Amino acid sequence: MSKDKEKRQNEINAREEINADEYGDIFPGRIRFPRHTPCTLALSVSGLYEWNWWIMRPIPIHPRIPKTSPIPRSPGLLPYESLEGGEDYDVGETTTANETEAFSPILPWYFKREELRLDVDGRYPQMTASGTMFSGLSIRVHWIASLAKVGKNKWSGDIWYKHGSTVNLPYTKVKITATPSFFGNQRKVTVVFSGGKGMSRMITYKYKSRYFHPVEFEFDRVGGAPCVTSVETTAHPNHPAGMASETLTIENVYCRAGFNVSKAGGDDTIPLSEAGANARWSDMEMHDAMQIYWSKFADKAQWSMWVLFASLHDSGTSLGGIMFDDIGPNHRQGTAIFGDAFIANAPSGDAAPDAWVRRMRFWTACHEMGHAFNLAHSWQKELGTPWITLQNENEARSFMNYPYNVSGGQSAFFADFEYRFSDSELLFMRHAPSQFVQMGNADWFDHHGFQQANVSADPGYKLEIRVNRKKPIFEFLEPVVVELKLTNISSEPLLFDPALLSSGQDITVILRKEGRPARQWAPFAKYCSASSITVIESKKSIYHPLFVSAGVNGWDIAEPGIYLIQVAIKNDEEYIISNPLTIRVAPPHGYDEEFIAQDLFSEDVGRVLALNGSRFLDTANNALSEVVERLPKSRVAYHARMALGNPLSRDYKLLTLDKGKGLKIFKKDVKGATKELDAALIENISDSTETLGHINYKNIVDSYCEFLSGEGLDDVAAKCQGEMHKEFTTRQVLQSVLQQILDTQKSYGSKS
Amino acid sequence: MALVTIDLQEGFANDTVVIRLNAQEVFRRENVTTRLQIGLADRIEIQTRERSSEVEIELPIKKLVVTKEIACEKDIFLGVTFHAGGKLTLREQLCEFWYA
Repeated sequence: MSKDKEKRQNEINAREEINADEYGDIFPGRIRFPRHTPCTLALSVSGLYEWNWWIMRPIPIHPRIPKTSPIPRSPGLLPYESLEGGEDYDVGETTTANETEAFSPILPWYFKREELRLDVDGRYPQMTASGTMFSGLSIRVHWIASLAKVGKNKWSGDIWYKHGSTVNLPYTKVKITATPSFFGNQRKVTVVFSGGKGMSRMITYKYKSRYFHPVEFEFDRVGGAPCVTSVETTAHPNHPAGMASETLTIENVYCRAGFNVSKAGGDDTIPLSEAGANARWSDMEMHDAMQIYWSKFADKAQWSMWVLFASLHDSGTSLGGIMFDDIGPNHRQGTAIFGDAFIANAPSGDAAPDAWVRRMRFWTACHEMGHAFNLAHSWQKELGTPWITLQNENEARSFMNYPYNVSGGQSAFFADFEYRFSDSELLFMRHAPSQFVQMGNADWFDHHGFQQANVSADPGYKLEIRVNRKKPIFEFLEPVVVELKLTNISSEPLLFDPALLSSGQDITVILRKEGRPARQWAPFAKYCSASSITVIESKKSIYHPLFVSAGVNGWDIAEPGIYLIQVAIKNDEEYIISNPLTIRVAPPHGYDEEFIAQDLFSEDVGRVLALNGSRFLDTANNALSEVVERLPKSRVAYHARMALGNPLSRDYKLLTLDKGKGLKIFKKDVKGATKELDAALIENISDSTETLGHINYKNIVDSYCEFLSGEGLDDVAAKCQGEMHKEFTTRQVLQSVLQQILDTQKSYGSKS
Repeated sequence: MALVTIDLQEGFANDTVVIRLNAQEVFRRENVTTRLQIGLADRIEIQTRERSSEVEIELPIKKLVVTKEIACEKDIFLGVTFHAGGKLTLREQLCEFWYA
């Protein structure tokens, strides 16, 4: 087949994948009857459906006296939804339809949006429905349900997966009724959510697309390198019996997997010089080429990928292709196929070597592109922490399996290979939270953290990470102190070295800001202490605070946004892994906070806060003094005062390198220390307890009381302990801790 | 003279790997980690004049060792995999391992 003919055939095939009822997706508002598709297909109901609810807020160009109009009503909602967030609605700025000409543009004031993916017919149906609910700008919850047919166009099933703000989705069951139609704009699906603690809820979604997600491919090739983007399915005699004979393109493969595929760019040819001196490609060279030649390159998540057809990788003929893009902040955007690697050599004696090679090149292209959708190899499904519990599929006839690794080798593989992905892979691509699948979003093989940790199958401990506040929201500039709670969940007493929690040597903290790659927290200090193994009784816990905002890598938690924190402790050769904790850093309140941020987010200030003060790092102390002066009521001011006051409460040794001076001693400043620490710890005890964290707060107060006692101020120390007892009682701190505080208070009281 | 190619394949995560050929250490590397998209962590090529040799792969921190007697009349390719259950296996073939 000539190249032109082949190209035309590919275009026809790609078009045929677009069902006639899809016409409205591409040309909105235009309706066309299906021509080539049987009625049964045209009446399929699988696809993407959407429901939107917007409250509009008009922005006037010229001031007008507003007239009132009815409040937009939310369609199809039972009381559970009723005008949530309605206090934001401003009737004073509404308008009538006649006035809209004078108003432009119209922006959403508040919106809710929901997507539904119904997957019950068409190619490889997974008998699954999934949905994503977007509410406001930050709430997102994703659910998946398995379905069974209960009538004509009716399905029901249990919701078995939830992700995100799951509190907004209390339901456990769905009942789905689809209304099929030849016309896209008349298709709809009604879902009744029930079960759980919420009232049942009914919502009707409008048809949007036959596909579950869009995706865009750009194919670039190196001059002279083989570029195979289509295959004759029966060209090689070894194929499944009954396989349809057709010219299958890469676009067809992904259309059948549920994606609305489009092509981007002009399928450019890249000069070989981009590969460096040896004409082979390293990952870095390919990454550079991707940035130059990919018309859609951007450092952001998008449903778009770049595919490079080249001759050979640096590592030689044993590498047929690679999803090379695990570099930089946005992974899985680029993938490469090496057409002259082993895939160019048919087994000796093969009946149709040319067809074998073409098929292997096609398989490799689809395989590498599958990695860009975050699909692992078939035998790696159980590795790490998959999005759901998966089983390895060592014998799967899937694009993600190696043909030569199955029992019977590649000939056995291709005898049953139907140019498709396995069901578990289709479930992931179609129904997993889109951020796990979308290119440039979740890092390669990493949407769960600690992917390779050796976790005990029968853990004796449970590690929790938490913050001592109702909602895990931190003010802008507020240092983040988390609390670790390690509980012996076995039925026996266990030996544990508490230093593992505090040393910094055996603890790994992963921090990830939403939309950014994960970072590992590197503490300012690591302590090498003698092992002090203690017994933790069954069901008992030990605790430790951790200041995680900053470390030697800089300020990992600083900018406003949502952060995920997870901790692992290495105990012998096994890891104890915490729950992931999501916190939010609020935006700044005003100019002062933004201005101070420039000085506060420095290494010196991070160090001073982490180490509870310094009398040497003057720049940091000046920055903290400015915080106290300009933002006295802010949460960060408590940390600043504590760091400023603490070193004043003791004689402070400073080793100087100035000639003849050596060790310099700063005498303690009782008045200064008392002023700062009183303000930090006692004046607004509720706020300071919350921001410093219970354990941290108690440690600091105990230390402060020792200082006060040393100055003969036992009565003040007793009062401090009393205030702490009162606050901790309100906060329902452990009885044993409260008793300890009472005992300490008594001891100071008896001295005064 | 034959070339022994040893591919450290699946399951490695920041591991220290030591390889000995006929009791002589020929390779030691820390932080060996499988690149999951190709299922390969590292490749080591060793020339040997012996007609047969004993290859030993050790993960000292995990206290795991696997040994294999190999014929070295032709070039030989070994694939080493660390399984989640704590088992180290060694696969032998006469053509190179393929990755994609």
